[in-house]
Amino acid sequence: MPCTRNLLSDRRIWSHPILTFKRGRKVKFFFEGREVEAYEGESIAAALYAIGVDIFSYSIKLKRPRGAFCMIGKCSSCFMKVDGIPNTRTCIEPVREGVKVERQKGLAEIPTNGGESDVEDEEVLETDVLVIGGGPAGLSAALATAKYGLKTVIVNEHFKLGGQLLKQTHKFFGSKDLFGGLRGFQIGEELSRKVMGNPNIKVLLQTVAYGIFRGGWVGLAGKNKLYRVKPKAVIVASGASENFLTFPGNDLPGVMGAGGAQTLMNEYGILPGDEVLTVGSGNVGLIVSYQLLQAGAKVKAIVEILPEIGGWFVHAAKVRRYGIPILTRHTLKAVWGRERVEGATIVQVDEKFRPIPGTEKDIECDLVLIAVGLTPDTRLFAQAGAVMRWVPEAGGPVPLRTRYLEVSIPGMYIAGDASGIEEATTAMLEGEIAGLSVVTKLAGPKAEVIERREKLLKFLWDEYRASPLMARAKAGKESVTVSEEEMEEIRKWNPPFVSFGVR
Amino acid sequence: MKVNILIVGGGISGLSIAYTLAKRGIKDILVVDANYIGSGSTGRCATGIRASFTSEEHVVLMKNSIELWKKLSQPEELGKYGLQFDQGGYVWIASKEESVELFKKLVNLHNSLGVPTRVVSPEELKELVPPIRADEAKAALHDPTAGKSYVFDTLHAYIKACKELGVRIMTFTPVRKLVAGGGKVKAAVTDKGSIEADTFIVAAGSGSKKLMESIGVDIPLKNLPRHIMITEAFKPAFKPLVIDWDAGGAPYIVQTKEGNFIIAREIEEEPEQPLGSVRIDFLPKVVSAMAKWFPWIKRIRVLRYWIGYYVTSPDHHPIYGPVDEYENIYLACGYSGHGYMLAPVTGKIITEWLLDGRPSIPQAERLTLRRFKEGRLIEEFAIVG
Ligand SMILES: Cc1cc2nc3c(=O)[nH]c(=O)nc-3n(C[C@H](O)[C@H](O)[C@H](O)COP(=O)(O)OP(=O)(O)OC[C@H]3O[C@@H](n4cnc5c(N)ncnc54)[C@H](O)[C@@H]3O)c2cc1C
Ligand SMILES: Cc1cc2nc3c(=O)[nH]c(=O)nc-3n(C[C@H](O)[C@H](O)[C@H](O)COP(=O)(O)OP(=O)(O)OC[C@H]3O[C@@H](n4cnc5c(N)ncnc54)[C@H](O)[C@@H]3O)c2cc1C
Ligand code: FES
Repeated sequence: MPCTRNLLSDRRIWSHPILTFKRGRKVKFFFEGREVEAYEGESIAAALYAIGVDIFSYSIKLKRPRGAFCMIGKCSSCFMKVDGIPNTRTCIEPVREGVKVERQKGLAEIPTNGGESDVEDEEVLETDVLVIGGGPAGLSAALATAKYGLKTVIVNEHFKLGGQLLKQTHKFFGSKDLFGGLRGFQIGEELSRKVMGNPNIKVLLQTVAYGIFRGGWVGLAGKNKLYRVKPKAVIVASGASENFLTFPGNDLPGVMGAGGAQTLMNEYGILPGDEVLTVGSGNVGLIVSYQLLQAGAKVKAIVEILPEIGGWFVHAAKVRRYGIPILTRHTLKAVWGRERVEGATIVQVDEKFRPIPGTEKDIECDLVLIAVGLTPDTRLFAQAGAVMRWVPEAGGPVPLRTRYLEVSIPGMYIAGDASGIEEATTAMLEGEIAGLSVVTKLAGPKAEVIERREKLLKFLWDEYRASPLMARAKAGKESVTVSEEEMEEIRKWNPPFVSFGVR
Repeated sequence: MKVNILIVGGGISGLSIAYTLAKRGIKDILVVDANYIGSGSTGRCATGIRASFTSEEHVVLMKNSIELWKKLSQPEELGKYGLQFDQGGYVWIASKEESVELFKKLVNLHNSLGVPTRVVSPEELKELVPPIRADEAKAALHDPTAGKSYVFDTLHAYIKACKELGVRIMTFTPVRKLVAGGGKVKAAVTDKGSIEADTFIVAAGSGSKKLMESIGVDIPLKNLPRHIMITEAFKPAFKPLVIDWDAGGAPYIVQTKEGNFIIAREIEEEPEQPLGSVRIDFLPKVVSAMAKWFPWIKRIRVLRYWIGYYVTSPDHHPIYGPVDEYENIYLACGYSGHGYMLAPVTGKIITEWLLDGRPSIPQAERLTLRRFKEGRLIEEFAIVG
């Protein structure tokens, strides 16, 4: 049965086999003039989804209903007017008492009414190190630089630290050093606590690093305030965004990124849908399907265009055990529904990935999960003029870097998903390595630091990535890792317009 | 390879010349560009179009160009491929008494050359630009014939029409140098081989000077970096391009048909700075300048900020037409920030030079390279978008 819902229904999950959701105090806010309830700590988008809002905006030209897709600030389908400010990404805007939220029908009017007076003057921040991104990579990097006395500023676009760890409910493998035995979100909380408590680290939440400028300046934009920073080194750990697919109906509310669904379900305890079709059988597609099952949804099928399943055997076996069919050589043809997904048509493909007419099958569902991979967020590197290369195994265009994670812009470092898609453990390892490289550069080579860095590098390359399961990611990263000498040569041919620190 | 006419530069100038020549039945035209079409100044410009200049040459050329923009935007010409000319006007705001006096003089000049500008009151300014805070304005100069067009639509339309008329376009093919002998240019050397041609046209924007140096012709051009940004989109708020005449750097703002605001101003710069070398002080400078008139601007987000070159000649007028040293090469460059609006008339002028021996607009003949040797520079002091 297609699922229709009334506003003010409750999609929050109140009982779950393995998770309990800590919810903040109740707050009241206004959605299109109506008073509604939420829990502190939720994003506006999550709070609205929880009470049955599917449509977050209407498209600019054709006024088509649009739902939220990524839930982490990367896709702009959740733009709403918040306290008079149009085009606010409600998925990374915290809900708060009395906030007024309205949907936009097409383009918004210019915000002529008030508000301008509370924009503060630009402030110059003094710091040794700037870390961009507060996910596992950025947090680990900041802890490493701060440990050796470097003044560190960490900026995060989201209102919470932790990045994608916050949606990861599985227990991590490995030693205690690598947080083995803890669940992802617990690791995120632990790292955040350490960072918040470190006197050498200044944390700026809801602040985006918007550009790298002549003279080594970095621009930061907070809610009502601009900063400019001239750090001696900058570490960019900006993560990744989810890929999208083109098919009729792909903008219908209910077509959601698998990561977006994870955010709702695992971070906020909100059920993203009742009847689900998952597109893509990589690890993310498999894991999220399983998690949806745990949370009480019915997963109707997982479709995969390739002849074989993309993800690891363990994960595939688990969803199969629960009777979810994984249909290889199948793709999504279209999604239908009026104001929300009511069903999807899937179709078999031939060896050249062309749909085979006559093999279409309709599946009724209210959620279509798109789990077709991630693309590294390397925009700051591209803008700064770093030399990049398109690497399919890394998920897209990524900068060349040394083993110590410095890119062709001197003093600019990379870590985590931005450097090529992997997962949280490698993000933490890369973050610390980048941090220690900055320490070595700014505070001089210390035996202890070099030793620790070598140990991490050895573990990362020779043990962790040696697993056959990591072969593809490893090949990707290898292809963009160059020696120090090669990097000097690259810089000669591509003279950077900007650099950080003394050289 | 050998062609009839080789045009170096696939910006709006090169395309307009190719289109106009082809429309007059000329065959075997090749346009080469070092990069992609529009990758030079064209794709980076603010798309303002106006005739309210302060030299006779500019006013007359621009008036002609505006007539051509109107014609081009008709469905039977390039309108069918999406080219638009949106005659929303220009307003120049004066906040000083002496500027109002200057405006009055300019209006007399414009009117005498047939451009119907006039000085308007702050109240009229507010009517033309409703979301403005006009209290500090003393008066404004309104040019109702001015307007804007949309660069990507324009380029797309030119490309389609050119191809339809048989013009060939080669991208990602830098011309490394020209080769000449016996008073004639022989060939353009590229990585894909030499291209011979009967006639060469240099419409290579910021690359023109270097190209001409390769055959020993010095053209006095400087590439001045100009900074510009675009904001997120909103419902149409006002039509004219608005310039603050009395603020440093003459900041201006214009809303595109998609609803985004393009905002720019001049900041002090050294020539030839690399195009990627963006400056953090530009954004607050341009925003605070505009916030004086549009306080809400502080509340909207910047989407992109970039640099483009104003390819500038000593008298801020274009360099058109033949050179003394060689009989088969023509220049179309050095627009000093106004080459987008000029493009249709540029096409007409160069085409006439080639096919009729001289342009039908006499003022164009004063704009050859020779003027610098002979010291006949032209004066212009309203150099903004
Ligand atoms: C949607 C999604 C789901 C995932 N799910 C899993 C999973 O279930 N299991 C798994 O093992 N791995 C998963 N991953 C893979 C991922 O490799 C890691 O989990 C890890 O979170 C990556 O860490 P990171 O620090 O590089 O990036 P992130 O954790 O993404 O953190 C980046 C942070 O930087 C901020 N940011 C970005 N740009 C800027 C800027 N310009 N200014 C300020 N802040 C900025 C972002 O808001 C974000 O908070 C997922 C990745 C994504 C994108
Ligand atoms: C910020 C800014 C705002 C502006 N605003 C306006 C405005 O509002 N109104 C207006 O009229 N004008 C404006 N201009 C000016 C306008 O952009 C230019 O005058 C116009 O685009 C020039 O067009 P063009 O075709 O001559 O040059 P370009 O667009 O620069 O094209 C030249 C082409 O030649 C190619 N080239 C160069 N060297 C070689 C070579 N050796 N071999 C092969 N190809 C080569 C380049 O790749 C380039 O594509 C503005 C400019 C800037 C930077
Ligand atoms: S930006 Fe909010 S859902 Fe993607």
